[in-house]
Amino acid sequence: MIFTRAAHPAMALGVQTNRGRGAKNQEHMTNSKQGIVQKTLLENYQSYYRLAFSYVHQEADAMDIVQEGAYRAMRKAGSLREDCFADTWIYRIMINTAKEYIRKYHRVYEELNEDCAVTEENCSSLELRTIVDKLPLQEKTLIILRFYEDKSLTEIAEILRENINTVKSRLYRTLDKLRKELS
Amino acid sequence: MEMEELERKLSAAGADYRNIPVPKNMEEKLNKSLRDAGKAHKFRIPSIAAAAMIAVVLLPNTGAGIAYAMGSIPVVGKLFQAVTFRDYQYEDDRFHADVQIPQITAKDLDPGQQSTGTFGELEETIEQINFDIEETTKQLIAEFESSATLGESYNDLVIRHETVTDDEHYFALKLFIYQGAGSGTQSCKVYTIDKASGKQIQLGDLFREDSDYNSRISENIREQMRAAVTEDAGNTYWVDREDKPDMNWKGLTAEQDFYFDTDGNLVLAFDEYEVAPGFMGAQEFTVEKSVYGDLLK
Repeated sequence: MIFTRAAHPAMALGVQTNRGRGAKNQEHMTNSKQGIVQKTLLENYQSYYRLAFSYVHQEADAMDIVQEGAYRAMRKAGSLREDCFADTWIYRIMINTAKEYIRKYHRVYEELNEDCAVTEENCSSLELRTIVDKLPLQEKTLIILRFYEDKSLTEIAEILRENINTVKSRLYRTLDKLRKELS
Repeated sequence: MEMEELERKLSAAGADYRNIPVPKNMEEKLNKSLRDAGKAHKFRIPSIAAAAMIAVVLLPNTGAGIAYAMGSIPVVGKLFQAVTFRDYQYEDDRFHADVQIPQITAKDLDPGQQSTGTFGELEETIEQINFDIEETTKQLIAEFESSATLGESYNDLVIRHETVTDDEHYFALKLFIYQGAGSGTQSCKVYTIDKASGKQIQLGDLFREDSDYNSRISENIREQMRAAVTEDAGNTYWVDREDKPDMNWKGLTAEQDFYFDTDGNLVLAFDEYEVAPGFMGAQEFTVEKSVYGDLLK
C-alpha cells in the first residue's frame, strides 16, 4: 500500500524557490533577508517550539513542525517585507506549518474534555493552562500569543493576517468562554 | 469571575507556559534546517516525510502488439498506459495544490481495428474513464481555486494516480485524492478494466450471480480488522463496536473500489471514514484468492 496516512505525498513536496528573477540585486536582498530570518529563528525558536508543542503535545512532532517551518521561512525569506516584522512573519509560517502538519497526519491531539470541571477555588495557574490547552487551535493561539507571549493586538493581527477588530472580538469571545467555563 | 481577574490569571499562567522544556536537540535540528535551506537545490524532501515519495511506475507495454495483431482473440498483455495529462501546481502560505491528472491511453491500437469488437469496446471504455477523471478533477480544482481566490482559511488539494494492476487479465488505475480543508480527507477511485471484454468492471462482475461473495469477503476483512486491533490497540476500525453499533462497517457495496495485487489477490480500497475513524486515513485490505476463488465466474 503506497498511500498511507504516515506517508502523505503532499508533505513530500519541496518548497520551490523563485526562479527567473535572477537579478543580482534581488539575490542580494534575499540573502540579507535570509540573514534576518536566520537570526530571528535562532533567537526565538524556543517560543515557536512552545507554540507548536501546545498544539501537538508531542516533543517529536513539535520539533518536526519547527524544523519544517524554519526551512520554509528561510526559503521564502525573499518575500519578507519589513525587516522588523520577521518575528511575526515567522510565527505565521509556524502556525500554518503546524496546521498543515496536524491535518496531514490526521492525528487526534488533545480534545476538549468536559469531565474535568474546575471551580474557582482550585483554579490554579496550572488548571487554567489545562483549560486553555483544550481550546480549539485558533482560540488557543490567541490566548498564547496575547497572554503567554505578551504580544500586542497589532502584532497578533499581523501574525494571523486578520483585521485588528476581528482579533479583538475573537479574543473577547474566547475570554468570555473561558470565564464561563471557570464559573 | 471578573474579566480582569481572568486576564491577570492568564498572564500568571504564562510563566508556566514559558517553562515548557525545549528539547536539547531542537537547536541542532533547527541548524540543520538552516543549512538545508541555504543549499541551492530546487526540490527537497522534508525529513518528516522522507517515506512519502511516490513513484508512478508506468510498465512497459511489451508484447501487446503481437496479441493485438491476432485481432479476434481477447486483448491480452500490457496494452494500457496511464500518463499524466495535466499537471496543476499552486503554492502560497495557506493554499497548496499538487495535482497530476492522468489519462489512460491504449498503446498501438491499429486504426483499422479500433472500432470493431473488443477494441471498439475498449476505446469507448477508455474514453468514458478519461471523461470521468477529467470531470472529477476539474470540479476539485475549481473548488480549490475559488477558495484560494477568496483567500479564506486554508486549503490543500493533492491528486495522484497509480497503475495498480496491469496483468494478463486486468488493468486498474487508482486515483488518490486528498482534500485538506479543516481536517482534510483522503479518498480514492479505482478504475478497473477487464482486458478480455474491454469493459470497465465492478466487483460483482467477477463473481457468479448466485454466490454470496459479499459476506465472505466482508467477513474476511472484519477478521483482518480484528487482527490489526489485537496487534496494536492504537488501531481502530468500525467493527464490533458495541457502544455504537450503527457505526460498524456494513460490508462491501456495489461501487466498491478494487484492484489486484501482483499475486492476483483482490485488494479492496476504502476512503477515509469508510471503515475506520478519520485518523486511520484511507485503508486497503488484501483478500487472498483462496478466500473467494470458488465463487469466481
